[in-house]
Amino acid sequence: MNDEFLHQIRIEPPRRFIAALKARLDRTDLRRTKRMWFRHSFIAAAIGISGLAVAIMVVNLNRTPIAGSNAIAPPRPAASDGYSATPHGSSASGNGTVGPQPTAPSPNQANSSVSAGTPIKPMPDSGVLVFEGMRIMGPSALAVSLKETTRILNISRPFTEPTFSIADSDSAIAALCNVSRPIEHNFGTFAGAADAVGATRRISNEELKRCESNGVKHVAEIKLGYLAVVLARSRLYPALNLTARDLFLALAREIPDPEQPQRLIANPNVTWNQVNSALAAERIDISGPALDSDTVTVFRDLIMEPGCSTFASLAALKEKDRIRYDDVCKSLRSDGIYHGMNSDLFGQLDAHPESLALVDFRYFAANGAHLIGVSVDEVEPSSTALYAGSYPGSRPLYLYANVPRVLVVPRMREFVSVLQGSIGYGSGSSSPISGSESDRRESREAALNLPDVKL
Amino acid sequence: MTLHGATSEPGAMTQTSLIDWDKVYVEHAPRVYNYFRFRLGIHADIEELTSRTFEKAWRSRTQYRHELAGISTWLFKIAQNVAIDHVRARRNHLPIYEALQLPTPDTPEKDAERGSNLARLTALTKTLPDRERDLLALKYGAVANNREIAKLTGLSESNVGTLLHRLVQTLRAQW
Repeated sequence: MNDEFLHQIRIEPPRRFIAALKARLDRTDLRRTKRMWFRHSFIAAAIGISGLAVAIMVVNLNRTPIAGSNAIAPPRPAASDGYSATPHGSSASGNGTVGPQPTAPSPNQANSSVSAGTPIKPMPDSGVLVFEGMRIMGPSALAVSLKETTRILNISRPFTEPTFSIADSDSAIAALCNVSRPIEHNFGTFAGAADAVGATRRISNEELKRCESNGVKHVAEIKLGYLAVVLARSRLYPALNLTARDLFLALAREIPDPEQPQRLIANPNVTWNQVNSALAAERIDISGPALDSDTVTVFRDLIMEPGCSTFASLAALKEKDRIRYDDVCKSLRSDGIYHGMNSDLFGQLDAHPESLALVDFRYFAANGAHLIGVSVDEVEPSSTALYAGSYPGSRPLYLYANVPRVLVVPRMREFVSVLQGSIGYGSGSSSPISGSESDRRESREAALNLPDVKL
Repeated sequence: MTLHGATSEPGAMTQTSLIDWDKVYVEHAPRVYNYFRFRLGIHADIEELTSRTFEKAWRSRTQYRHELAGISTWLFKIAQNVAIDHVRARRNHLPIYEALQLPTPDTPEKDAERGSNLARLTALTKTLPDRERDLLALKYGAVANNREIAKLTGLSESNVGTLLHRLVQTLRAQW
């Protein structure tokens, strides 16, 4: 037993309890605010009534001629001031009005009257005073955690769901750094800034400098967790080792022609030995979730794209034509080699030795009794490999926050903190996996204090 | 504790209104929660005691004067009082077995391990005086440093260090 051991007995309080208590405290605030509002209203009403009473008294005094006196009316303002003199030159006109009556207002008065009657327009969007809701960009897998975070924050009081745009790391970080040029992407065009972004890589020095030159001077980094996918087979059969390149050649819609690598052809591979002569002459048969699912998106990003980049001609395409590059590197074939999952997945995998299934890491970890993971580039999928960053099917997921926005975006700090705590929860497929215990401790600190990123 | 834009202007309202109470809650709720786990070892009441602490703090936060005590010190002083009240009320029937009923933080295996460790620790510390249990709870449950503990217990900082060192040695010998 030592300090470390004793500290490890600590646990995270149940999130249900933390959220419920916060909601209760917020309601206490609300009740107090209401009480204060009633108290202030009462005082204001009392002051108003007293003021009115005094005003009426003063008016009555003015209207009552002092007996025996020769009251002299005060001098009238000239008509050129915008006020006409009373018809009879008397201060007490007898019609209940006191003082001068307006006629045509002067230009100045016209201006002031317009400005007084016009609702105050919000300041043009300076990025400081106008709140339009939190804007977040990042990988689609972040959506599950964002929804969970919104749900938790809504328990205490209404919370506007942030606008979330799916974007790859490059586009997301560019948006964080307030780059004004439109960013073309498969999913659309992004031109604006983002308050916080998710990225599956760390921000680079160049990007940080660009942020700074664009006025985003404080960027905080929070390591949220990991994204990971696994190709698995039944435990009845031996482990399998494939490379990202093998998997690209097995599953891509188009691949380089072996005869003319510059030319792309429809993927003709149907057996593993066509992909790589060192592999068995077994049929390629991979089942998985829908092509637009988060799991497949992560697979495209983490396995397909790196496999694609092993071809020099395709890697060069990234710089030349990003949209075409994404299309070639991330498109899965639709000829039946990749197909939907059987409702009895374990039965299917047990019955077919050649069958593989694409699943997210959490599902794989929870079903270790049935599934064995395919090693990618000779690294087995495991928590240890994932935390060490050696498993190609996983990437750390970072959140980068534009720190000054915390001061103007309501509840943004709370949002970041709850988001960090929400990682690893939620039922969506391919939602991020929380990091190791030390990772979690560090990211919790970072989410609370939002220190500037250090590279 | 960070006070956003805290000034030296007099007036408690001005000071407290500048504190980010959401942040205070997020940062301190787990510490207070674990303080009670270590201090009392009774899961059934931990949520209730944590709630009571924060409700008391929230009700009186407009009176909080940061120049007199840091937020941690102020909050844990409230937690200590809540714990003392609780111990007084239940001194004669402290159900140690309840310590086994712990929340689920990570994996079931990890949870079971932590649960049994806390139960064992609770059993070992049940004969200790309240002050020693409080020291352990502040150090390992609330993760307070020796200076904060000294402020909360009225002991000197070096005394806190010495007492904790002896306590851990004693527990290690009995573990």
